[in-house]
Amino acid sequence: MKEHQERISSVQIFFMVILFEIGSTPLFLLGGKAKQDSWIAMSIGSLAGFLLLLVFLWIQKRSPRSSWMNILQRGFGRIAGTTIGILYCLYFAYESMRNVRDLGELAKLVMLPETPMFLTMLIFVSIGGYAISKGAEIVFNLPELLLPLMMLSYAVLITLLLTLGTVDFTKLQPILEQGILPVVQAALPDIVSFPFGQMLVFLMIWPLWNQNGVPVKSTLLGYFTVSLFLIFMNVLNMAILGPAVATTSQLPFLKSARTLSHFLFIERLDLVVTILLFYGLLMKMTLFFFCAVRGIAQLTQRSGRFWVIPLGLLIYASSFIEQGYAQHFAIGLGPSLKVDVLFQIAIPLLILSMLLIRKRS
Amino acid sequence: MKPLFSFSNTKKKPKHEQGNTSVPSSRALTHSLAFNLQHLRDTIGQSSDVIFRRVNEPGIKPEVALVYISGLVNQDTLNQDVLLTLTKHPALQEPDLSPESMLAKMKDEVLAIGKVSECKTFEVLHAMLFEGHTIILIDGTNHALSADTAGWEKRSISEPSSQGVTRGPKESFTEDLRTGTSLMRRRIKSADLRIEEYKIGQRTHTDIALVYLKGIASNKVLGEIRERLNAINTDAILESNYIEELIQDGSLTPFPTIQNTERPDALAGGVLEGQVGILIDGTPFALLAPSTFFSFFQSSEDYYQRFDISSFLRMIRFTSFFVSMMLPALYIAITTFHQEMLPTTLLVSLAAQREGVPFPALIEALMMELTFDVLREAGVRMPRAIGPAISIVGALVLGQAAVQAGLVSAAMVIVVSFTAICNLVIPAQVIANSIRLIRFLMMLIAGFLGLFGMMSFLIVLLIHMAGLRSFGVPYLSPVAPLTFRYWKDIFIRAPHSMMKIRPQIFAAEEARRQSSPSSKHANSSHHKQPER
Repeated sequence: MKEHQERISSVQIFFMVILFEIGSTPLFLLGGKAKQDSWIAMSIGSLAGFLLLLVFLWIQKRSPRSSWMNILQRGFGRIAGTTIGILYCLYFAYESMRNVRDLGELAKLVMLPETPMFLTMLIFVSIGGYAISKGAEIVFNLPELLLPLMMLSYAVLITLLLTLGTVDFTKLQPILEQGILPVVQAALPDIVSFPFGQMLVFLMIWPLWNQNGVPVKSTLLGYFTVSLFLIFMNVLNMAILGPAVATTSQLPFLKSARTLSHFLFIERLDLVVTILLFYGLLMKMTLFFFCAVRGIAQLTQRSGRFWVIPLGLLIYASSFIEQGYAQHFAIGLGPSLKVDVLFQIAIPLLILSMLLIRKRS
Repeated sequence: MKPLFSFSNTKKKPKHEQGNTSVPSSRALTHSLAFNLQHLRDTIGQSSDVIFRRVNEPGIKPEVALVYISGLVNQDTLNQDVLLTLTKHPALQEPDLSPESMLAKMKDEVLAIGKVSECKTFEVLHAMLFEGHTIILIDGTNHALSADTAGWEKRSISEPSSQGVTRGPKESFTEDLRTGTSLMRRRIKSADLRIEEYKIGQRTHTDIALVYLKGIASNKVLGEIRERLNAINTDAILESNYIEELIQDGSLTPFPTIQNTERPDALAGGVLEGQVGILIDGTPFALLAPSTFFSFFQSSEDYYQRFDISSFLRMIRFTSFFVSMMLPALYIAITTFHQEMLPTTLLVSLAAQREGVPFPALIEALMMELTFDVLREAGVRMPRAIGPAISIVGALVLGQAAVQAGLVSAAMVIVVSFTAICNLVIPAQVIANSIRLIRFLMMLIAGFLGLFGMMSFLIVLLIHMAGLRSFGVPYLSPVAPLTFRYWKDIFIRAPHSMMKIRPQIFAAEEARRQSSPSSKHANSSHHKQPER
């Protein structure tokens, strides 16, 4: 392919925000600690995430054409900035690996119980690498192709669940049984870190916009749409499964869909749900992978294609470190969230304060 | 069969004639008629269809000779307007005419023919001869005249054989390039319609014509097409596919990036959208470039029927496309890996059918699909008379008997037949053919990795397609990159009155359509279209 300025449009950013945030979220029931109030926890998380997003947008607005790596280098100086930049790339790679592992487990659980996980995960990482080696424009074309289909499938599923399913909104009561405090604790910082704080990756993507400035409108619109969607899905799952089942099941959305199996013609909607999860995970994995490649390419002044294979191998290899699904799950909702706080909140806030101080002086 | 033969001939020729002087010499003509004629004889050889005729009329001095190729000239024109006038015209009867003034007289007064030109070298002379011109040589001058007497046997315009419609024009292109350009002129009566001719192929000297609307076709695309046509370096062009393969965007892909059509109305429709048509002499199939993936699902009949039924048919086509690509693979994946997805009763009935079948589903499906492709190929190549025999053998012996013998399950026969029928729904053969190949890959992957493999393969295909370009136009536009206002003619076909804007997918710029695809009356560009 010819080397030319890679540019992405507002629509592509809007779609990517939605698809990226949906990502692997339907795999879990977020805010499970808040029981039937998990949707409130989601809302609080989303609001907090919104404030964080405003910080990201503000930072980007100060220098619309420089990516997060450049901003870090400018903020912390050449050496420290590069070091932190590399850490960020590793963090992106780590997040990408989490999605790879998620998919490996999903494939084992639902699709191919007898096929070894190393094969499914290898295929998965290769697809991401293939897309990235084709360039940013191709990566950002994918949501345009996938999101409409996914939205259609979600719409069909939701309609079926609402009309034929066992939706019982009384399961959401009593609201705020133990006051607001446990709900806030469930939301902060866990739900902020996953998935809302992950909007951080867009600091690597906004500079690619095909217009001047920062795509504030499409980003925020996408963020609101997807927040509402995720909160609604949370409510739906809770209303179908009830707090006891929903918070303990491995794949709550799949479980909800399975409640529809009483009807002959739609015996198993597993297929649809699995496809939705597969493509969600794929996009999220690919975007993290993409940002890792882009970041390291900027730091080393080499082309992105050079780094696709080494980083792909790194992601693939690291996905074997965790022992089993239980450990993967525990790390994901435990230590991982604490690391997230550092990368998603602490460092950006540090940069923000630096920029503010510099502005004043 | 014919093209195959001539193809092998032209391929072999260079080897045979390596030593001979088969390349026309660019030598200039001399003043001696005898020498010129001898040189022509030497270079053309003893071909029986080249006629040398001296005009030995007593009154005419200096001596005159005609050279033409029998079969390429219209005998009537030759006799009436050349031979007869040369011998009987009073202007030539004057005594003591100098060769030069005779040449000038012939060119300006005598010959009753539209296109007469002078040539000075043997190379030009040869070229004219093979175009069907009659060469007039005069003793004493080193100029020759060439008179356009071209006229050869050609097929008349007939109904399209591979792209038929129930409602709409029934004309198709013929092998003759002039007929093609005239059909286009008849449809688009605009001064903006431009026809640019090229000669490609060092031996076949095939005429190629670019047809486009100036101001609507994008200059970038035009420049790219011209550049690629000029870069072609081959000795033979016998069919449109030669050009297609030589100018398409290089990457290896199963997907076609250039459309072909034998329908003048389809070509006109494309040209009106800003595409560039390429007509090729010697084949009724014209090319349309650039093309997107979605162009292959548009049939010209979509615009001749009411929009609701057209939209419905479009959706049927897209569904058929996916069914044709994935149904056998889906069957394999579900019966091999995901039985739990089927309703219990269906599962039981499938299991009962498969009970006696000795092969795994993958082998069973591959066998049946290959059998179908063999049958299909046999159907294309066989003589008409044995057609019914093939259908009986195919349907009864291979279908029914194989099921009764327990070699394949009845469900598999249904799957394979439905897949085959779906493949035939797609209006453009080229894209239907590309999924015939993809289907086999899909089946193999489904056999080993089930649905997971299928989903992965599908996304790889999507990534591949998103990266394709046809003369700079993204292959999946307007879906990716997304331009929602251009969707009126993609998955549905909106009423003509609603398609007021010509999309910028192919065209140079987004503009109000000067005319809707079906009507040929040009309105001024800012007029509102009359509401229907």
